[in-house]
Amino acid sequence: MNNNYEPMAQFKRLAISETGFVFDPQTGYSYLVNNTGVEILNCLKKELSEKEIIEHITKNYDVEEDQVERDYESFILRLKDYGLYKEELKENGVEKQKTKEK
Amino acid sequence: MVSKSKKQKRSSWKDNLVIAVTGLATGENPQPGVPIIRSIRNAGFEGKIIGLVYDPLEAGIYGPNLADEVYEMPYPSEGPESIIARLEHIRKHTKIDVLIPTLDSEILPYVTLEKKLKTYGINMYLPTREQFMMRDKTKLDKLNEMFNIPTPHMILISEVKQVYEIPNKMNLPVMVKGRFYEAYKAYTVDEIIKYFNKICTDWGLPIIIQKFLPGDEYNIAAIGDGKGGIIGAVPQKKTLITEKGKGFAAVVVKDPALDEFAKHVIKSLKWRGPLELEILKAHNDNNYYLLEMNPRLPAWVRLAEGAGQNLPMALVKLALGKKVPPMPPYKVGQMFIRHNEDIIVPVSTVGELTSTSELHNIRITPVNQRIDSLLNN
Repeated sequence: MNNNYEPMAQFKRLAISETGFVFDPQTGYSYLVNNTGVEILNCLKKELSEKEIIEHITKNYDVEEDQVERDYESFILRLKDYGLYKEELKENGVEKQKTKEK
Repeated sequence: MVSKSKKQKRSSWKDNLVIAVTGLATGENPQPGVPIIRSIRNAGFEGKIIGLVYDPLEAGIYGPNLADEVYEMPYPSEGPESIIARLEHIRKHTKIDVLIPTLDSEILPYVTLEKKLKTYGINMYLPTREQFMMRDKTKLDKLNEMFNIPTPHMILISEVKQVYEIPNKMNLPVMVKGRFYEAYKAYTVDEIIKYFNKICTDWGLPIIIQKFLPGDEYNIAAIGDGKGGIIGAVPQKKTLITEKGKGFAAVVVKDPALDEFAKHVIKSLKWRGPLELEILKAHNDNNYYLLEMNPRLPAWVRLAEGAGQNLPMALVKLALGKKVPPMPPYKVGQMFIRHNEDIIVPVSTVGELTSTSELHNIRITPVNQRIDSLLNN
């Protein structure tokens, strides 16, 4: 039996409530994130780029761009820790899951 | 104008049905009987339900809107003949159309009796003896050899002196398991010996030593159709676990790989009847491993009903030979949170069951509870 089933696109599968309760239907784990975390996750689900996400947060919240960049990096690191953030790379036309290297 | 026939309640195949269910203990280590009865009642079943119990203090006997009658049964270890003798006595009071054994130790005796009970009009939906033996915990690694179902490495021991050889065969910690019940994580040889003696006293030999794999555990309640197909299956992850390792809260999850794993197991064994799969997703390789396959529905089976699959009611229909199509997809994100409640009952009722081994007309429904309240005030 093939037990190496490809996982679903990590954060795309998350159910995110406005209150910051985040449920991973694949693993059963749940998480709490703040308002900015909800914004970033929703932007990631919409497949916005890092630049677009930082611009979006800076535009909608009273915060400096440098601070948003730092918060974004920190949030992404946390998502990686939980196995929720992996970058999809295409090699020879085949989509592969690979953790984004810093 | 509403015609007379429409005013009358339609009679259903369920109306005169009598269903017997075992395992009504609740509390810290709940048995599946009470949730199975609740799911059957929630499907609209108003007929008679009989509780088959081993102890007058099984709390489900006295729970509201559950059993109508209760009979004490001989322990499964007393053999199929004792069960038959008791059922013959019960048949003098009431018929039984469907019987649902819910405890691991009961399944084999009832599998043995399935044909005999059929002649009494008592129907069950159980695995064959061969299927039952294939999932025996002491033979779990054979499933890996026969069907390529991944299982953790295990060895069987029957003597304490064998414990000292374990560190040469697998890394500590290990899981120390009984054939029917109980499992402990042991970090040292001394701990293995302690659990060996404890399990041996309660459940006998052999003792199973299973490689401990760090990972996340998932459970699946399901019913197999006996041809390799699945009538229904609901996977969950425990989110609150007691000291004894019992789930007191769990959430329905959805992972296509987990669903495929369950399908592969049920298809390989051509499992007929209810089951619970205990599956581990190992952290080191992200693969699923079968830890246990229990031949009955689990105590958390109401979560399946909450997720849209009433497995106990499907089991009743299957036992009666009715065709049950595959159930609708389960709702992901449904949770159960277990709670214990004190049931108030006159000591004389418990005494009656203790002295006569049976109770009749005990079902408390919201209606007769209200009448009782009016009469006493």
